[in-house]
Amino acid sequence: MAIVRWDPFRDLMNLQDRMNRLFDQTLSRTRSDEDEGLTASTWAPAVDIYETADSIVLMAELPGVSRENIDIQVRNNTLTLKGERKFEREVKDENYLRIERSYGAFQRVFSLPGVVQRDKIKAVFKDGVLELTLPKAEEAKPKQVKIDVK
Amino acid sequence: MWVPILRSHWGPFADVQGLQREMNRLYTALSGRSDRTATLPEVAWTPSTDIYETKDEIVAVLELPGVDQSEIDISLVENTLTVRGRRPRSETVEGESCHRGERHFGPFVRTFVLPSVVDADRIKAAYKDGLLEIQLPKREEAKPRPIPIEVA
Repeated sequence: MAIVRWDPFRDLMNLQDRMNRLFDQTLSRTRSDEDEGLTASTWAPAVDIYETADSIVLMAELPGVSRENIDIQVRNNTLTLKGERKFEREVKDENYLRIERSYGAFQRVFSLPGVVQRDKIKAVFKDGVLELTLPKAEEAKPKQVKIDVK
Repeated sequence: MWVPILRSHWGPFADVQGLQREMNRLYTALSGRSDRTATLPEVAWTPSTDIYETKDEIVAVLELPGVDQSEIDISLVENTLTVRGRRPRSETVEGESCHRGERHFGPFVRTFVLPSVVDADRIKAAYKDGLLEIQLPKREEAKPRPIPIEVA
């Protein structure tokens, strides 16, 4: 075994690292606001949502999930993202030394901050990141209101 | 007069998150007060990793969605594998128009001490669909070898 100089702060960092992962795993299922109820899922992907003048954009991290295992639905103002990351390996004689990734079903439900045009939604899945662009309905776009001076 | 305390938006896990914040503050305080001159690497997030072993190699799979391949650095020193890199922040997520920001950005580092002797010359890595897969073939003498039992 190689002799590596003992570094006490590396142990501390490892401990902090492991503690954070434990918290993140425990809290990810409950990382919710009032709109998400109890969902039938074992893990939850990290999601960013932001808004431009024309659309609402959602970015979800789904590395290792295949396209056909992702389901996106929009109803009224609610977006449901669900699917499954399957645990499959071709090689059978393996021995796992570490499993940190989450597998199984996931589901997240979001309340959208405005009305969107459902038939114009675009989804792009690249490098494990799912990017959904939801164009706002006309009435939801910010409009300039001119004030007449009389 | 008794006045009820109104707590809005109390989730049971708010306390646990508070605990996580406190512990991180403690760690930062501990390391900040050290006399070490060497700096701790700056790490913003830690990608989840699976590591498995077959008879011929050790494979590490890291979740690095949205990371540019050119920003990933892999190094192997004796039995220690280090993967570091960064994911740049996007301005759109930082502004006022952000409704939810859960993804982590910035630098990351993971270090693993691998159990058996790997052949550094034959290490291979591929990045596809947000997953970085590193294959570390074992050196011949490290592979399990069946020992025949001779009949005396």
